[in-house]
Amino acid sequence: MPTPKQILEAVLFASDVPVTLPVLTQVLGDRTAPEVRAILGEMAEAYEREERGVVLSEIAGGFQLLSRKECAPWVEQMLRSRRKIRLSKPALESLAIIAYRQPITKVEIDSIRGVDSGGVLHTLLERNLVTIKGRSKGVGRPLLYSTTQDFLSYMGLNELVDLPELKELGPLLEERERFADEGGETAPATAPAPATAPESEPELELEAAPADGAA
Amino acid sequence: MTDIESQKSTDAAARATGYAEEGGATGAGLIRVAFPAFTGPLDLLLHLIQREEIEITDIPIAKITREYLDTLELMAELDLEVAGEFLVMAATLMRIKARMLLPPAIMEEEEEDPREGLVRQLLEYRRFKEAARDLERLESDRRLLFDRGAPAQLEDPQDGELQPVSLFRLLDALKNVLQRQAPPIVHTITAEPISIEEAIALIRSAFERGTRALFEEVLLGFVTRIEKITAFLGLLELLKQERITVAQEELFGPIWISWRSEHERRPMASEEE
Repeated sequence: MPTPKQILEAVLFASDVPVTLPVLTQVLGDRTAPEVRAILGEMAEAYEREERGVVLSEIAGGFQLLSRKECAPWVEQMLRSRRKIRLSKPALESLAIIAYRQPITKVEIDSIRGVDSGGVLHTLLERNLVTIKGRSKGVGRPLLYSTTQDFLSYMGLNELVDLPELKELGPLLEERERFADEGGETAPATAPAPATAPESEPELELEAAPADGAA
Repeated sequence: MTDIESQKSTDAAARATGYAEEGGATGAGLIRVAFPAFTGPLDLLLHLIQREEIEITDIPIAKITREYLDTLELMAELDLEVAGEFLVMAATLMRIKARMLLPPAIMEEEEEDPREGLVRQLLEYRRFKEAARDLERLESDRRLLFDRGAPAQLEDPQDGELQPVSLFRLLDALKNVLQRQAPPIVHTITAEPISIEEAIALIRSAFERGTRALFEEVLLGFVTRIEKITAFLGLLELLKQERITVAQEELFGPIWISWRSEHERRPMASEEE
C-alpha cells in the first residue's frame, strides 16, 4: 500500500497542469483537505531540503511540480524550440490593465493606454491569457475582458491577490489637495482616494487600502 | 506575428539609452540610430518628461509640446509608423498650450488647470506602465520554471449514448435559432462587430461550469443575426481544431457541444510557436 505522499507525488507527476486541493483530496479519499495540504507542505519542504531538481509549487489555484529555477539553462537547452514568445510591451501594458481592473471593456483599456489595443487583445485572447467574461450592460453591450487561470500560471501566481500592489496615484493626490486649497475649498482629508477615481471602477481587493497620501 | 515584430523593436529599445542618434557617425558618415518603440503617445510623453527631469504635475507645456513635435518629426524621418493617436495627442498638447496663454481672467471661474486632465491621464497610465514592468519581471521568473511538457492524453469524455452529428444537422440547428430571432429592435446602436476569436472566447465561457452545453444555449449569448453567424463560424473553427465535439441523443434532438479537455488542446498551442 503506497503512502499518501507517494500517491500525491505520483498524481502531481502525472499532471501537466496545476491540480487543485479538492481534486487531490478526492483522489486520496481518506484524508481531509487540511490534512492533504499539510502533507503537500511537508513534501514541498522535503524537495527543498533534499535539493531536488523539481519543486512543489502552489500556482494558479493548484499544486504543480515544476523544475528548479537553477536548472533552467539546462532544461531550456533541451526545450529551446518549444519556448513561447515573450509578451511585447503593449501586450504587457494591456494585460496589466486587465489584471488590475477586470472585468474591463476594450474602450476603457484604450483610454488608459491612449492607443488602440485591438491587435494586442487579439494576441492575449489567442494565448488564452485573457478571456471574455460576458458583456457590459452599457450602450452597445461591449465585451468585458478578464484574465484566465492560464494568466496566473504564466505569471507564476496562485491567486489574483498575489499580484504586486498597484502604485498609488500619490503625486496627483497632493496636487488635487493644492487645487482644492487654492480654490478655498478644503477637500476632506479623510476622503482623498475616491476623488482620484472619477469613474466608479471595480477595484480589486489589493487596491482597497485607502491612500494615505504617500508618494 | 505582430508579437514577434514588436518584440524585436522592444529589444532594440532596451539597448537604446536615449531616442536620438546613438553611437555617432561611423566610417562613411553612416549614423546608427537606435530608437525606442513607444507603445503610444502617453508612453512618449512620459519618456520626454523623465528625460527632461520635469515634475509630472507641473509640466512646462510649451517646452514639452516642442519636444513632442520634434520627436514625431524624427519618427517620421526614420520611417517609423506614427499612429493616429500620436497626432491626436499633438493636437491636445497644442490646445492646452493655447489655453495656458489666456490670461486667467478670461478663463471661466473655477476652471481647472488646463493641464489637469492630461496629468491625470499620465499618472494613471504610469501606474499601469509600472504594473506592466512588474508583470514582465514575473514572466521572466516564471520562465525559469518548467512544467511537464508532454501533454497527457485523457479519455474522450463523450458518453456512449450520444452519436455524432453531421454538418447538415448543425446547419439546421442554426436555421432554427435564426428563425426564432426576436423582431427587430426599435432603436439602432451600432455595436462593434465581434470577431471569430472573440466569439470563440465567449463560447468558451459557456463551458466554465461544465464540459457540455446545448447548442441553442451557447448561441443564446449572441444577440444579433450577424453575431450568431460569427458564433457559428467560431463553432466550426473549434470543431476543425478538435477543441469541441458535437453530438445528439436522437435525430432532431437537441445538439450537445462538449468542450474537449485542456490536454487535447495543448499540442495545438505549441504548434503555433
